[in-house]
Amino acid sequence: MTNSRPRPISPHLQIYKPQLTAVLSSLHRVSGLFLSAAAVGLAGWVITLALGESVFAIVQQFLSSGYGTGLIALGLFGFFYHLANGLRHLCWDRGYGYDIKNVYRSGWIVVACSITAGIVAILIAL
Amino acid sequence: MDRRCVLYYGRDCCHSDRALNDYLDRELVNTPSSEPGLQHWRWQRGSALVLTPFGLWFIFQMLLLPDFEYQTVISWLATMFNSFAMTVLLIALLVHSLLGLQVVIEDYIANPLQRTLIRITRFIGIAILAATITSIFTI
Repeated sequence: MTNSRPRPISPHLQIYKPQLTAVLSSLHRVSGLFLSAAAVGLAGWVITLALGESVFAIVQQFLSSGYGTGLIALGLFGFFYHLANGLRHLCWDRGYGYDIKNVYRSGWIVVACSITAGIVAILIAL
Repeated sequence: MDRRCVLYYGRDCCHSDRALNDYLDRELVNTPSSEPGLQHWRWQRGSALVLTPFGLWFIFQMLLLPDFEYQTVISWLATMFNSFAMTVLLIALLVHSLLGLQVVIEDYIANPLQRTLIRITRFIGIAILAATITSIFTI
């Protein structure tokens, strides 16, 4: 059998209308990946503390720059989102909130909580 | 049949719990609970429960810190409680990250590269963790 054009590859994301459920699910994974990188950054930050003041100063200089501040802000939103949606997953694990109505309701609660918590944290940090 | 198993089994979402569903299929016919997929699931949830308070604690602590001068941060980390809490946080964080990354790798990358990548991420993660904990206790 010869294929004149390549077969579509699973999971066929392009044929679905974006829905809150799918978008939040992907966002959980994307934020998880970003936070994994941030975890490595946090570990590196702690290690530079042990390496001495001069090394720590270089890292702090980067973190207080525009890029650094942006990454920290993104990390805060990512953390609060992943935390809120993670708690939503834990509720599902216990068997709560499975019907469509509650899945959407908890989804919007997660969106509202994570955006609010992110903004509040950034305002306190400024 | 256990109510929770039926609910897990009935889930239609998704990638992150695919392994769980596979393993629970077997658990329903009485396979021992030491199955790697179930262990993965338990560690992921366990580390999530640890990360909830410790992650929030760390962010609050950072927001409360008056400045990020070397001495300020060092004296913050040097206290008994803070160094202990940071150790717990970093262990849970790395465990949770490694489990999550493993699922992502399993979903998008085929064997034999899949196994190799999972081993590499684990090795790097454990090395970072060892270096970080050593750093905390040398301060």
